[in-house]
Amino acid sequence: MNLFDMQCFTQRMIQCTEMRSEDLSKVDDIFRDLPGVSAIKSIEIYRDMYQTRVFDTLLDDFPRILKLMGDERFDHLAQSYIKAFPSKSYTLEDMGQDFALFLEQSKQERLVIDLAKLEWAVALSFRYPLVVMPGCFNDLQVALAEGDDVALELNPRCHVLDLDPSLLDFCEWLEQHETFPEIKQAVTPLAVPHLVYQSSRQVFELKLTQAESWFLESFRKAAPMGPIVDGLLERFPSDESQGIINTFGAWIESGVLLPILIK
Amino acid sequence: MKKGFHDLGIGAGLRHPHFRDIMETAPNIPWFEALTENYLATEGYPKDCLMEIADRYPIALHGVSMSVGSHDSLDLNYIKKLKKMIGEIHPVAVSDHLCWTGVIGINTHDLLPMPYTDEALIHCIRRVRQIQDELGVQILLENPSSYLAFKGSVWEEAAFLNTLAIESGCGILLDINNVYVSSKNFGFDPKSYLKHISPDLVGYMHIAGHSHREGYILDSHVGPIPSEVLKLYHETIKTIGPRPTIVEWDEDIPELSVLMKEIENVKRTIPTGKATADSERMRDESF
Repeated sequence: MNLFDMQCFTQRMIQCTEMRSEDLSKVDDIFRDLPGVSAIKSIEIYRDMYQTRVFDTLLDDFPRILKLMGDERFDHLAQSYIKAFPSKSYTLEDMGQDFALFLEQSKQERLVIDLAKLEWAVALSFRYPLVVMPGCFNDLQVALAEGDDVALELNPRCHVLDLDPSLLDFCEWLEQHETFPEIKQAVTPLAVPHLVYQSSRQVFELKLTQAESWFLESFRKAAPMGPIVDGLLERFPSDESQGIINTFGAWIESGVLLPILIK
Repeated sequence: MKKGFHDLGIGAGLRHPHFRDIMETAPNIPWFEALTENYLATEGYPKDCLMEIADRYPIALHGVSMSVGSHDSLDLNYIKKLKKMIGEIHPVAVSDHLCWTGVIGINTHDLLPMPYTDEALIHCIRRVRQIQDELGVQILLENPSSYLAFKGSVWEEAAFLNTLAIESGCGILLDINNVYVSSKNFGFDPKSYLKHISPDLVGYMHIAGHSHREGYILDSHVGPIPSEVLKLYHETIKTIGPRPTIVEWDEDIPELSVLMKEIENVKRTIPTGKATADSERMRDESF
């Protein structure tokens, strides 16, 4: 057997959950027994390590899903997930990248899917650089006063997610409870945007108002600020809009928005 | 490997729970070995810490995803990221394993053993040459711990590794615990294995703990270094001369102070006798 065939077979044996009878005899043909373990047991050692490694990564990235579903359901789901979406990345850290998509495809409840999106956004937000911008709001005000055109963009470590509105309340509730059968009844289908971001090495999750959401979406592509501010006031003529304009400096300070000067 | 590398002494595997302690207390550990993949996909906190620690300590980059033995084409995206990181960290050494991690585009995230065949050897030689050309640095390959033996293997692992290193120009990262673990699992003499490794190819060494399971030993990197691994390490030093060494501790990671005590323990028990003149000569020639 050549190297390619040998590797394909070994990998299939490690990733499968159960060996077929023809596989068992092939294992004996290709591998030899060791003094303390049979060839089949050797394969099982690698299979167990594979399962453990991948499961542990998913557990780390999706602790709330685990808590929501319980060990048994989570195990079953994770098993199906790694079969449907085996890792193709050099890093285990990418293992959970398709989990929300998988949950969607397997027709899980909206709450579960949203929770997975939220947890993955939290995991991702740690990968981006810490942006420390002391005084940048002042710089921005000076630039504006001097007539420079200024644009803002969403920091790459921030994610705007369309999540169930009850999700954050639910997450809080989840922290305090061991079981949660009644929670599914509390889910409402209306999705609202959330902002997930990292600042000072902490992850924040904010439920956005419609105006805040429009504001952030508009800045996603680093559009010039003047028309955006005008648009905000026109679409949402309220105190809230004025409040957003007055306080977006805080968002800049916390790294949610990055100012860009257009000379 | 950089000049002065062979004098580094006994360092430690750099692990996340120790970041803060290392940055705040600057412990007397001569060098660290960072796990490459922990920093490749991030520009966040772990990378920040690595950069800060690399400013103060020599760092080696030790990977698990180069997949030298895989039949798949080389993951150039991975190599590109590794090259960038080498440029940022300026590591004293870059290493990975003699293994494959997956095929047909899939990654099992395990260090899977190679069949030691002529075909596999030729494949690995080509592959290592390509990797070194892409990276622009010599790499070192670690002997794996293994729980699986191919009937089709025609080479002994030590001879396979020697030949691969000589033909491709890579070095060997000699993991003493892996030699011990595989020797118990496969039933061979670890001293004989070590005698067959060419001393001049060995760049640095690993020592670690392991766990006993039913019918086999697992390379778990847990706990203090077992006496039998320490003894084998001492034998190796007597034969080939001292090498920079990393103490690995990955399961139930202790406080940094405990790890430092373990390093001191390894240092204290190293035989004081010099290596043979022959091994000294070979060591000098290799750097």
